Parts: sequence; structure tokens; C-alpha cells
Amino acid sequence: MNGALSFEEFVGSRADALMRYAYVLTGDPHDAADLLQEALVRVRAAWPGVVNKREPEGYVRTTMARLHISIWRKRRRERLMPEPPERAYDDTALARADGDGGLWRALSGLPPKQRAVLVLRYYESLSDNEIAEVLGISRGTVRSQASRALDKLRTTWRPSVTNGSLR
Amino acid sequence: MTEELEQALRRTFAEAADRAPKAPPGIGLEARPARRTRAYPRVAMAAAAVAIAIGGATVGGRALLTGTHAPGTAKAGASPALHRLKKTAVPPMEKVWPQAIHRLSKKLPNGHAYHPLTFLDDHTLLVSTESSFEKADALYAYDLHKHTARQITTVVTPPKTQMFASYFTTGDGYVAWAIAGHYGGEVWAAPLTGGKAHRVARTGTSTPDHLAIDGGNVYWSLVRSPGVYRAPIAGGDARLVGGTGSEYILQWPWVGSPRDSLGTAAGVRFATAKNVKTGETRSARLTDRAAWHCGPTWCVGQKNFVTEAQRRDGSGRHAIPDVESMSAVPPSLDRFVITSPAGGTIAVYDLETGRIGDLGVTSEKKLPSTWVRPQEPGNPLYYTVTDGGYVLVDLAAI
Repeated sequence: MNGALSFEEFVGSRADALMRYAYVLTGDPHDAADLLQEALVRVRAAWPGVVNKREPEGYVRTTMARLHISIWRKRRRERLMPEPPERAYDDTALARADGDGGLWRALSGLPPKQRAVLVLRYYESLSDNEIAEVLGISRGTVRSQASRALDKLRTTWRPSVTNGSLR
Repeated sequence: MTEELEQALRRTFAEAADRAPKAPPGIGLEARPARRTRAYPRVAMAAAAVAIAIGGATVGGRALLTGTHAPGTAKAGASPALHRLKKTAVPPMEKVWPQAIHRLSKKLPNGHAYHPLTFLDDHTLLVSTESSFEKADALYAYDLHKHTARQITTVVTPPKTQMFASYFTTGDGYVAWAIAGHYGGEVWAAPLTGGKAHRVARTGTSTPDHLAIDGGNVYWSLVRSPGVYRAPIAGGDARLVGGTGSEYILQWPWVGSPRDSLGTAAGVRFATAKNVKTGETRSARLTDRAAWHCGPTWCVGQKNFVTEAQRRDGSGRHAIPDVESMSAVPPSLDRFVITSPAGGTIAVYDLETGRIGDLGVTSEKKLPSTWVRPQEPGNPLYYTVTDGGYVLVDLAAI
């Protein structure tokens, strides 16, 4: 059935779910909203093709993952300049909530591509082949990125640590 | 160690997803979201430059997170707020409405992770479990007194489904929900006592939302076009409810218009409301705000970062303790506003009595307003995530 789902309907029903994905990918509520917005703007433009030929949610998630590893990196660098303290993330509260040896915070130190590979592998439970397809990179790159990311996390992560203070 | 680290990553990501903010209303529907004037123009310029570099689409940076503000309210030079509230300590829910707050782990007694959907009674929660990301596979009745979870039904997801089960609602001993896909929209239901789920009706090419169950029928309105429809809960053809050709479900049995589907238009949402059972109609003419959001009785609006409420007839107008100014939805149960007050975290505010109780949300403190968006106005459940689990409020118990 053509046009079973309009873009507005799709967003209305799936925005929160997609926001969760964006948050896991970016690790920051503001970046998550930006990423989702940017992905949806693109998907909206391509909607007729998306809804008729593909599974739209998968398409949006692929778009988000790819955006995250491309332009997002640049934007993050731009963010390094001073920002007002309003809406500041409560890092100390979050660290307390971060029960797995500070893993959530350690993830924020990874380059976007490495983080995206981990999210797709351990959150979305995709195979390395699927990850390669989603991110548009080779399977070898998926493996090397994952391996580097895990190595980096291992330097700070301790399984038994409950108070995740990294610095 | 690798395996252990991998397990920890799975856990960390899943927990983060639980903490994730709700999507800002209207996200993705405007190519150019309203920008908030910022004190750091260099940041905005840098973001704009990147946006141009990626194909002309502008991303409003953090302005997105202020999307709940009515258009135009964030302009520089706007007149100062008249009713800005003083910062006062907000008492905890446990002191104000101890019967209404529940703190729960994020696992059912059987070990499954779950999402709270609504309260079935004062100690039973309807929850869903998921087979994969956001894909509900079963519904449970979670007895908070006995700490037992009883499976009600499995949720069927037909092939080519694009919208997984959503808009869960209960009534008449049933739970109903909506799905949609290449096959169109469908309403499904299952008896709360337990049993197989069945398709109630097809809804055509449009997606149903805002379901209600009443008098042996399931009622719904559609995302794409006005009109309230019904079908017998046992299954049958969808029929338009007489006199609702331009209405949407507001909070059953109230229907109304305009709905303003996704939070971008100015004006009064649900300026007119009609009770389909009694025929009573109500209107609201509130013109001094960019955006009011009306329930059957109360309207909530905001301007200059102050949230206010008044009844449809203009009486009882007062400011709500809310620093985020985010309450851009009709009040829950026509009476409660979820706020982010100065001196508190996330709080429930009672429009009828002016009482307020804080949820004591520890890990989500100081997060953007989108974290506190309530469910649909007829749902007695509000929940969010705090250190160690869910914090739930049964608004019907207040």
C-alpha cells in the first residue's frame, strides 16, 4: 500500500525512540537533538522513496549513524569554545549513575566512528557485516575501529569499580 | 576481560537509552527551527557554516532544545515576565502525595527489562517488554504489592510493519494499541485477564493515534486527518462517530480541535472541546499568548519563559513553578502539569490546589526540558528515570 505512513506520522510515533538512539550515539542530549533533527530533515526530503522501498526506521538510523561519523566530528570541534553554563549536564550526578566503572564517560572520549561501531555492535546488536553496510566502511575497518575502541576503554575501565571517577 | 567489557557496554548503552531525553516537539518537521538568541554568536555562526557545508539545511544548534517554547517567545527584547516566581524549596512527593509515587527497578521480577505504559489500578502497572529496539513483544500486569508480573498477551508485529505497537490504552477490561505499515493502520486489543491479541479494525491508509476504550468500543483519531472513529472491541468495521468530522480525541470522552499535530503552530490548541457522551461543548478564547494548550478545563501556556495556567473561561490564571517553561502539552488528567521548578528537579504540580511535589530525580538533574514530557493527557502515569530505576507517579491517586 503506497503512502501507508506519512513522514509526520512516522515522526510522531517514532521520535522518542529515535531520540534514544541519537542519545546513545552522541552521548549528549543537545547533540542528540541536533543529530536527530539533521537526520530527519534529510529523510523528509527523500521520504517518498524511503517509505516505499525501505524500512524507514532503519533508514533514519543509518542516516544518523553516518551523519554522526562525518559532519558531527567537525561540529564537535567547533563546540570546544566557551559556552554558557545554562543547561549544563550534571556530570557529577551522571558519574554517580554511571555504574559500570565510568564507561559512559569513557565513551565520550572516543572518536565518533569508534563510538558508532560500538553502539551498532553492542546496542543494536548488528554483525560486523551489517555495521560495515550501515556506516559505509569496510568490514576490516569495522574490526579495527572496534578493537581500537575496546583497547582505549580498557585503559580506564575496571569491572569492579562502582564509583566511576576517571580523573 | 573482553567479554566482561562487552557486557558492560551493552548494559551501559541500554541504561543510557533509558535516560535519553524525549524528542523535542516538532523535531524534523521544520527545516529551519526557530533560533534562540544566544550570548555566543561565534558558536551559532560556526554551526551555521557547517550546516551550509552539508547541503544548505540549517540545524539550529541548541535552539532545538527550546523548541517547546512558543514561536517568537524567545526574541531578544521581549518584555520581562510579570509573574516570575521566587525560588523556593519544593517538597518531595513522598511528603505531599506518598500514595502516588512508586520507585521501581527497571527489571521485572522475572528479570526482563520493561517500559511502563499506564496504571491498571492503584497497585498494578501495565508494562511492555521488547524483543528488539522499541519493538514491544509482550504486555505484562506488574503487581507492585505482590511483586509479581503476569503476562497478559504477546504483541504481534506483522511483516512490513513500520510503526511498532504504540498508543497503548486500557478500558472495559481490555488493552488496545495501534500499529501501521505497508498494510495500512490497524488497531489491536487483548483482554487484560490474559489471552490472545486480535485485530479490532483496519484504519485505512492513515495511522491511528489517541486510542480510547469505552462502552465496548475502541475509539481513535488519525494522525493525518480529523474524525473520531470507532469499532466494536471484539472486531468489526471502523465507523466515523457522528458529529466528529473535524475533531480529534483530546482526552476521552472529550474530543476537539484544532489539534496542531506536532507542536509548531501558535494559537490555542483544542480551543473547542466537545464531550461526545453528553454533547457539552466548551470553547476558549485566549489571545494574549503565542500558544495555549487546553484540556477540557485547564489551559497551559507560556511566554517569556514563564508558564501559566488558566481555565478556559479565563479564571484562575496563575504562574506555574517551572524554570524550563516546557509544559507545552495539555495538563494530564485535566489537572496536573509536569514541571521543572526552581529549587527542585522534576515535579508534579496540581492546578486545582497549587500543591507541588518533587520527584527527587537525582541523575537527570538540570537536564533539558524534554526530559520531563508527560504521556498523553488521559494517561494517569507519569514516569522518568532516576538513579537506580524508574520513578513513577500515579496521577489518579492524587
